[in-house]
Amino acid sequence: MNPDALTLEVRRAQAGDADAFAALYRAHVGRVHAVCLRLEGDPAAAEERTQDVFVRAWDRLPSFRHESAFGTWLHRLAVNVVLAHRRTEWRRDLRVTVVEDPELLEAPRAAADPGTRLDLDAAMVTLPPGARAVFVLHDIEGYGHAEIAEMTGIAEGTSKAQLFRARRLLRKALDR
Amino acid sequence: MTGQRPDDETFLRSHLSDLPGSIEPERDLWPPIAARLTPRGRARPRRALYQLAAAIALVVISSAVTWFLARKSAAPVVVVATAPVDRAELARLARAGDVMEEGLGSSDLAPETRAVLTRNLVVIDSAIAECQRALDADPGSPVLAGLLRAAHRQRVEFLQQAARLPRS
Repeated sequence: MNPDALTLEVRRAQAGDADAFAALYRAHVGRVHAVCLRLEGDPAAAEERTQDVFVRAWDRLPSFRHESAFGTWLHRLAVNVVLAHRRTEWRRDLRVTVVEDPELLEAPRAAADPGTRLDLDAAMVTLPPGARAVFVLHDIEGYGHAEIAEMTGIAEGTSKAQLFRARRLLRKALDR
Repeated sequence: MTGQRPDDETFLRSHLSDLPGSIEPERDLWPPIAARLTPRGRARPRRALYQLAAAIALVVISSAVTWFLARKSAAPVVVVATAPVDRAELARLARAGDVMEEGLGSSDLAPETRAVLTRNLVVIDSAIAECQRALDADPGSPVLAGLLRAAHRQRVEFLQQAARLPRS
């Protein structure tokens, strides 16, 4: 969808046109689903969050002022929706003590098949939820540790420790 | 000859560049989404919610006027919100609001009530975003910190009142 067509569809959707919003869904669902899948680490949960994101986007679209690209606004909304939903569980997972060897803190969620070479998306699924969240937000989404700390309710030092741990575990999974 | 082993970040960089930016869901999610969309312009809001929304708008506007006067006037202006910046408290208030909003999202409110709630949350969120932007530009301002805290508290109080509304 070219920028002019996108702007037109956004304005129509803001005015309540569900068909225009459907077009926006088709254009953006892949990116939204990708961030939901990576943060959740579970396909079923990612589909639920993706639905939540678009429902929330429809509700909040009247307040979108075209100050940023629609895709950027939607992407940020997706991150916020997933974080709001998962915050309680993540707060528990993310509250770790910084120790010399972060790998000792928490076992990966599921062991990968030792005979299978993983890609990064598959390897991320094996991360503990707290480490995965920080890795996705920092290394993929580009947030800084201060922002991650504020968004997830953890200390900056914890965010750094989780990132260190995530990278170490991912390397171990990918370096076979 | 053995090369130096790259650190974890360097090692992962090539994998990160290969990640697809888009992953389509395995099934079409539009039908369940469409079923959840509230039609616009058909809501019949409750009187109490209108009154609450008006009160919130009044407080937000008066707070903005106070901040504007404090910023522009050469004469000293007395303002109520002069607490020091406490980012931990602001973060706690924001999280409390998020948790309550999430709980409200799964409740069985009537669609028209939910639409009114959503519109007013947009107003409050906009006020919070404005205050946050101003505070980012002037991080040490206790006035802006007070306004931001007040806006977060309004959000929590609004959600508390919404949680007490009768369900459909």
